[in-house]
Amino acid sequence: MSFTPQSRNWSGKRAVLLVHGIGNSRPGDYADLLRSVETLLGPDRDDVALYQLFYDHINDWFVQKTQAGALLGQATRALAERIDDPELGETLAGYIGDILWPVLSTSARSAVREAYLAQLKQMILDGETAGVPVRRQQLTIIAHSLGCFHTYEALHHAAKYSSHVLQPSSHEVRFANVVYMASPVQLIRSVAEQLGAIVPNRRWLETVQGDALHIPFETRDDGKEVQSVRNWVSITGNLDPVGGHFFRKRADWAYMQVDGQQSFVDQQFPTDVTSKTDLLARLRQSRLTGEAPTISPQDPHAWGAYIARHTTELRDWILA
Amino acid sequence: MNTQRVSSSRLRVCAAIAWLALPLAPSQLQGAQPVAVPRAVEGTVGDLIRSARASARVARFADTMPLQYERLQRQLDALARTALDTLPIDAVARASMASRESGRASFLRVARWSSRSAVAVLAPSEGAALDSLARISLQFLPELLEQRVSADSTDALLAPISAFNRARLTESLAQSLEKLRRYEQKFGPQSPKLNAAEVALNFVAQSLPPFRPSADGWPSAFEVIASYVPTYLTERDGRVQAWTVLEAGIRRYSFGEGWGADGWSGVIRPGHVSAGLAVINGTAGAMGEPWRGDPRLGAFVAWGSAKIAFVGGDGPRLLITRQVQIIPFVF
Repeated sequence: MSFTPQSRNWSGKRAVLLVHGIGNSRPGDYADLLRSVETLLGPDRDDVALYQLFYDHINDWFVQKTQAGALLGQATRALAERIDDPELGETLAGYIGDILWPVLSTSARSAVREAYLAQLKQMILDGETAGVPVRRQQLTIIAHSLGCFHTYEALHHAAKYSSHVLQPSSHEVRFANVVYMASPVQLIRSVAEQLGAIVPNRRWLETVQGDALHIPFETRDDGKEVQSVRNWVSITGNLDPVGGHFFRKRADWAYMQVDGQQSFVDQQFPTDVTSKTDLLARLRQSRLTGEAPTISPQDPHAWGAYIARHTTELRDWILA
Repeated sequence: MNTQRVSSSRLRVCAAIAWLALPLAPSQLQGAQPVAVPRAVEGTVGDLIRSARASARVARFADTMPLQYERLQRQLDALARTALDTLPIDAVARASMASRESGRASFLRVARWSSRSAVAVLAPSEGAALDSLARISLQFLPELLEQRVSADSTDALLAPISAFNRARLTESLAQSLEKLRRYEQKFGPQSPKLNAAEVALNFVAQSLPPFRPSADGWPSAFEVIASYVPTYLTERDGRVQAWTVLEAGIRRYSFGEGWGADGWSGVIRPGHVSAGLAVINGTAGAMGEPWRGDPRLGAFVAWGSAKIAFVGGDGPRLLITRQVQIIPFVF
């Protein structure tokens, strides 16, 4: 299946790109998530062009052709050693291994990045076609999990290489908001540092460049730095290991901290019981009805839950 | 001396077998295209120059940023020839982007190559001046203009320069999709699969310039081959027999337009060709050990899926097969 960027008709000056994370999604997936974004926009929904980036089939090319799973062994072992609990370390390492393999294949990384950049270009051209010059476009990216890594890579690459015509100053492409949800970018940076020379072509892996993670920028001819993103947001949960938290404890080597970012760390619960009062209420209800209390486990990494917890902020950012 | 010389009749047998193999060439890659065709970009270089001049004047660029104004003025001076006035922005933007494409010609060569097109009259220095003019204008003028005129007036004043960038962005999108088409040709479902040894070798090789993508994302055309191929066929004593060949070489993908298509067109212009060293021993059989006994060296070439190997020495031997992986990641 070839990659075709999504194209939308703009009726306003705003657009949102949703970039999914770990999974094996295809166009048409994440329909619920799309609906929840539409819902949070309320009556302004029609003025916002919504895009989704699907890139898993590109990953699949490389998995099938290169047996990438075998290459992950060393990466996951390196990660397991960083987590104190050996059992937890192994489990998490296997899970997080899914997000590491693009680091090990320069071609896989480049291909997904190119698909990402193609989608950004199509989005901006759609706006231009609707008569909205790029300097007036209000572009928002909401990325989750591995999508955060590809977002970080794509935005830095775009700011660096003029051939993409996406630089913040020379081409006026400045994103109003980039929202990272459960970002593994710092985690990948740490593991890539551990892997050392195994990571091929490190100088093109933006995640490991510089003294620390940073907002991409272009240096203007007069020496002033112009950032690609006006509002850089990181949202994670205190039970989400991909976002750098292990049992409510922040791991600095895994948590994305960028100068100038707005940071949110959601209070998460292993079940849908959110407080002692809530638990008592359920137990009382159970005694009244004679039925067992309904308590459901929660996925701390679920994208939909992150969106649901931040509908107000997301709406404000997108429509600002 | 053994008389296993390759006679013309035997060649015909081999050719017939190869012919049968050829139609199984890779299926056609669908070039990804954007859903919506971006708005056509109108205007000329003359419009762009006038836009920069007018915007600089309204923004009082000379007073507020004299150094940058001086640089802008230098670009305008470099674009003073009246012949440039009527050049369409669209064509100039395409030439400008083509000159950036990795592994492709410089602006000068693109302009010369397009000798019958409008951009032929644009000298390389003028092309560079146009790029700089657009960059300087958009880096500084929008902010200054908005301090003095409305947003709509700012947009109107800068419209030709924005149009130039829009044309370049359209071209850049086409380049991104072309890169992806090439990645799909090299790594997609129809591409030759790698065995474990090739995975390891290509993993190491991706750090070397010929095998890694370019800095701006163009895939490498090359791939390392190291295969144990038990499916070669040859003619011996009037019978077709299986023979094992050890291959070590390079596969080169043909990314040009029309290469790697389906059917007969793909036979004539396949998606990849390969060449390298072939090793066999004197024992026939599908699961032989070419490195044992008395290994003999030769060469193999592949044209798409069809492969032919020739081993000389005492009793030269011609062998044919097609690109296929029987056991995933093994051979």
